[in-house]
Amino acid sequence: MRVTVRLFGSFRKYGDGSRLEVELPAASGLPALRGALVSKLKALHPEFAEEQLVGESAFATEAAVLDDGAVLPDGATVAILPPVCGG
Amino acid sequence: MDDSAHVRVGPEPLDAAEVLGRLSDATHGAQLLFAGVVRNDNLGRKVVAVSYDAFEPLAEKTLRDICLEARAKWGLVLRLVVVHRTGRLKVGEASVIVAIGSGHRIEAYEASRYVLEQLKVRVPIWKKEHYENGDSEWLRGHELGAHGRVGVGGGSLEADGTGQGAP
Repeated sequence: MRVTVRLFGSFRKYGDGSRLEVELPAASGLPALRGALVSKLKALHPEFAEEQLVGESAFATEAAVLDDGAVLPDGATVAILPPVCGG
Repeated sequence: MDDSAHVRVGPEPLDAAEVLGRLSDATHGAQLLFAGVVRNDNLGRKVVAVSYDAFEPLAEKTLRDICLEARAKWGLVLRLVVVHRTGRLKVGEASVIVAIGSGHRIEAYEASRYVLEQLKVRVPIWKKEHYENGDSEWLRGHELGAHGRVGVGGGSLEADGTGQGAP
């Protein structure tokens, strides 16, 4: 299945700076999404070295941050939220 | 939500007079406005500008949640305005305003501090500093850990076009 990841903060420097699409097995959760995202980023950017930042990031819809038990539906769009620093 | 809390995250310049106007309430004896502004230095590096990025829909929702918490803690009579800019800001420009109207000063000071401290660790906003030598760098932040995470059913994970909107 396909999941779209919207990019924010430090992740803006990857892909088109807005979003990336990743392929996942059906009914995948966030751990699988993190793995697929790292693979995609390494494929697009051989110099990619921010695996740790992916691990420290949350994923969210427009309404809520998702917990690690969330199951992603095919066609979902989620945002990757690196550690925040507003103000 | 009623008009006792107003939040906005976006590129429009912040207007302190407009914010204070939203606090108007004849039963209040206190209006407190805090503005965070771009500083020309961070840990010894000369800063010329800061760019703010935000996941705007969730940022505004989280700010509304924080305002509700403040009203629960310091009184339903509180009026709150929280506005945060996105985009590139020069030194001296305001990035955030937190304004509180309340019956007396104590709850205004306490609620203002609460809202800003919660904003810094819970609201999906990021900043990138631009330095005098031409370098730029996204700042390290606070992981979105236990704060406000929801279960499988709470995130309304629909396979749709929720990716529209904010940059």
